[in-house]
Amino acid sequence: MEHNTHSILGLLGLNSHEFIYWLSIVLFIGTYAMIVLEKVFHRVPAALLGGFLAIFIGVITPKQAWESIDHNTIFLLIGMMIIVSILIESGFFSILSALALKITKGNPFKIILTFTMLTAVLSAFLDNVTTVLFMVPILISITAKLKLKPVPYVIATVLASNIGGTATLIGDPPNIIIGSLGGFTFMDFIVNLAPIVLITHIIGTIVFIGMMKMQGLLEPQVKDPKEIERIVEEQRIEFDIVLMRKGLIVFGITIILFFLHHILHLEAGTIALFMASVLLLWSKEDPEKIFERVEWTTLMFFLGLFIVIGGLEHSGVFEDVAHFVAGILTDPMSGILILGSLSAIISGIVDNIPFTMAMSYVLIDLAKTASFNVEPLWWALALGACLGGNLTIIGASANVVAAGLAEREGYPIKFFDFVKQGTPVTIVTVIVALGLLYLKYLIFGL
Amino acid sequence: MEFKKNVFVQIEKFNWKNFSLAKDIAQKLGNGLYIVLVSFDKEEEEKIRKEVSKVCPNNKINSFSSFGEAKTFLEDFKPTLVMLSQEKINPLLHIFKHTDAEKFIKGLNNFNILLLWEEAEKAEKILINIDYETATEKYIQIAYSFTSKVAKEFSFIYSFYESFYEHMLMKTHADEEAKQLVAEMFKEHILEVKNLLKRALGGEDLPLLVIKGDPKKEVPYYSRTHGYDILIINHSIENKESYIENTENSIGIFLD
Repeated sequence: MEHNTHSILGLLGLNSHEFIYWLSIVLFIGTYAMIVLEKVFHRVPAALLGGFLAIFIGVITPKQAWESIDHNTIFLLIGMMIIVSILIESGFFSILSALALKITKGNPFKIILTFTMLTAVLSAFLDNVTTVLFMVPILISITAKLKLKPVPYVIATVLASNIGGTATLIGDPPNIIIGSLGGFTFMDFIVNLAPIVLITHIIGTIVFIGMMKMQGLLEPQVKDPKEIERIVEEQRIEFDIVLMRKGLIVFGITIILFFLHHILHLEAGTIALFMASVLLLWSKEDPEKIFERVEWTTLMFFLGLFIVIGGLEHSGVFEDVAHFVAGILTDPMSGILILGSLSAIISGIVDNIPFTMAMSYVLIDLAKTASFNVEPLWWALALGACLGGNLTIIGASANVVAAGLAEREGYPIKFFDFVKQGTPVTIVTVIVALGLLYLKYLIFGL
Repeated sequence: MEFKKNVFVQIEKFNWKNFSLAKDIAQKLGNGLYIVLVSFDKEEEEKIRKEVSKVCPNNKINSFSSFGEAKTFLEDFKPTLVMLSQEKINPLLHIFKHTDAEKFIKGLNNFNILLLWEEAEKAEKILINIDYETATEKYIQIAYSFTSKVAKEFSFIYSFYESFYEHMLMKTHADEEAKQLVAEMFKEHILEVKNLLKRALGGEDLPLLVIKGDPKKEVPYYSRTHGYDILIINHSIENKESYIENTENSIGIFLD
């Protein structure tokens, strides 16, 4: 374990492994508390303060902090935000939302059903963050025009995104890690997870739509068809088809390259930033104008959070958690329930990427020594890590991005608003998904 | 300018609503209408000939099997106005597909062109765009000559791309200074456009509508939302394709 002897802790003689171990936990809890207390602190400076305090006092060295930042996620976010910004500039989303409004006739139930279904399907084949970047602006625009409360609709869409993303190898970052470290193919995910996710999504949808109905959030506020027609027309603002065409061509190629990124040995983030640069050049749009639309605050939040979590990782907290989990995984059937539930809880509290990575190494070790087939545990980890992301606003990258987008439009998503909607859905979907996985192995054997 | 030779080009299907409007426009311009049919089968062509002869016995109809033949005919015939039907298409579909009219007019830069919106029935209110960079006296005169004969109401419009200039200037100047420079630029541009208009119209001082924003998006939007029947732009305008595709009513592309 490398600790900085020239740090403040080093100068005070407090750079023992044990002290740093506990300090990283205290820092994490402190940062988390600041994020939760959003009325007092904004979550971005809270995360940045936590991250840079960890470097400042020496819990993590600057080099380790730099390595803790998941550059792939940051590059993916920047690249897709640029592409989506150019599509926004072209008026694509207003045209698309006008169409969605026309199809759903402004009915809130149809809107939420259409959007969550579409989001889940898109998320299975696209990165969740990309899907959210694509869908949330449309949804906010529509719901605001229909005098509905946009926040619950946005949260429901994000929940659907995290559920849908669980179905495939490329749908969610934890699955990419599991596929890569566990040696699973695209088809392995389709066979083992897609049917479970389909049923889980249906049940999840019933839960969040039911909750919204009980809260009276699905009552139409605009009922007059003529008024809805007027809103549809109003939604069709200025557009530029030539720019839309360029944006969609680049977006399409980006998605194809995402599918091929394993073959090309390129990370999704590299592809996204490369294609964003191509689009910026081709569209001749002023980069400064486009960069104004990039969610820099969301990126800063990730930066801080990655460093805080990096502190936990480098001080060995993750390793201990992983070994603790490995110690209680004595057989695959109970392991499905234990590992799946633990992954869901931990992924809901910390970002699911470093956790999945730590657990993946534990499973690789376990496969060498265990007397049983560990494959079910990999699927339990995937289900828990992906679905657990719905527990809190910081559980998954897509949640943070959606919160940033909503805040920019004037509809901030409070930590507890998300928890109120996300927790019941997470509990139900995790129980259903792990139950189905358990049943599958019970019926068809290991 | 005299609009002596007006041609109505139809591709694959005949739009009778547009034919009636084209006939009306040609009449107002004081001349007859030549009809050019492209890619019609014999049976359909005969039907059209019969129907057209019932309403306008003097209309001449030429039929061609391909774009190339029809374009060669037009190059030789040298019409003063070429009218076509512009398919009404959802913008989302438009991303993936060019209309037949858009394909046909590609490279036709020597004629005044009028794309009649598929559902267009009248040409009473016309908006003439004045582009700061490319609009010429000749263009304004042609557009004015056409409009004054055809429309009951018309306006000249100029869109100042404020945010573009602001971003450009903010790279080299302080924010406040850049904003001040843009404000001065705005005044200068309006003055220059007004002077151009005055010179083109022989000293006549006609009002100019001034809006702000990306012209290729804002002008077609203004035209659509303010009930204009036709928007006129000039051939040399930058992003001509965007103006054509972003317009959801009839659009004229006139010589400059």
